[in-house]
Amino acid sequence: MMTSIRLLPGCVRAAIVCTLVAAAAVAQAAEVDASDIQQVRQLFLRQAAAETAHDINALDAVIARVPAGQPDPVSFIARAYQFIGREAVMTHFRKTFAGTWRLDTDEKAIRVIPLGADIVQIYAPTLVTIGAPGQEAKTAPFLINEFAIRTSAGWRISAIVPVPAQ
Amino acid sequence: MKQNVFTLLTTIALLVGTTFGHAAAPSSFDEHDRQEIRNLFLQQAAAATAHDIVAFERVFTSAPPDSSVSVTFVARAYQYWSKQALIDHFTKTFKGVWKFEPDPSNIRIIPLTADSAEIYAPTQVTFGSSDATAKTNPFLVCEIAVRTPQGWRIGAIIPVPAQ
Repeated sequence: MMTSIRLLPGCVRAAIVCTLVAAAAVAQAAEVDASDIQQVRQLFLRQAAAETAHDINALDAVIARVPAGQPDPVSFIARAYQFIGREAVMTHFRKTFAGTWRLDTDEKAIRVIPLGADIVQIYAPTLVTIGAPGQEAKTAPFLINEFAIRTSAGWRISAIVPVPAQ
Repeated sequence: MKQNVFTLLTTIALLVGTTFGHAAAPSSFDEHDRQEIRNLFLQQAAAATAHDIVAFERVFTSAPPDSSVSVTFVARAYQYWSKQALIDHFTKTFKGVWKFEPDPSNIRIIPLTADSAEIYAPTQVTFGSSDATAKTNPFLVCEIAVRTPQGWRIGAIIPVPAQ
């Protein structure tokens, strides 16, 4: 097959390349598929495990990172605090990990819902155990909503929006 | 013969690019997009407060029946996973008292990708079965807007109780 292509004139080969590039672009813009859903689910579970382990590097790896000059897509909107921007969110988690912080997600209830070709919503009912250093921790239920985006490095978490369930 | 093959393949490439250009082109998010999304959200708020279900329905994404794309609404009290379920909910809600009043000076539009953005809007929501029983509560409303062939539309609503 490759030999046959090499025998074609340059203009024909160029046209074939154009066709393949256009087809690849279309494939890239295709809707979210079952593989994407599974990748996003695994991404969320890695995030939850990283938070419970207080592993800031593992958490850093799941949060979206964009090249300099592009808009920062990371935010964390909760009742108690709102952080806009990757650095603000990571600084918050560094402080939080100094105390008690544990996520217990009901894995059977996780939903991954496509909203567009490059964005999906994650819905995960989760028990969150929170406590400042040296203080008694409390556990409360949340409906955690997150938005994963398709990046050049794969799916990553951009926005985190926990809704208190009580 | 060679010329015919070249013409055929080039035509196919152009057709593929033209047909799917909107979704495939590496677009970018600009200030015009930001203003369109802000206006979309304000249209949604005005439609909700006016109990105009037709205008309200227009602001949400409409995916083809074979698409996996959906519209969601996740609140503490209820969760909806489709546009139809959401519209059915608001059709009932609009029979009572419902006012959705964002603070325009505090609305933030945060681009997530070239074709999606988060809307953050501190909002006073008044609801109840009658004026006598209606209550007003503050919410931190988060929504996701997505770029569609028809323009920007809302794909998800998450009201976080602020109290």
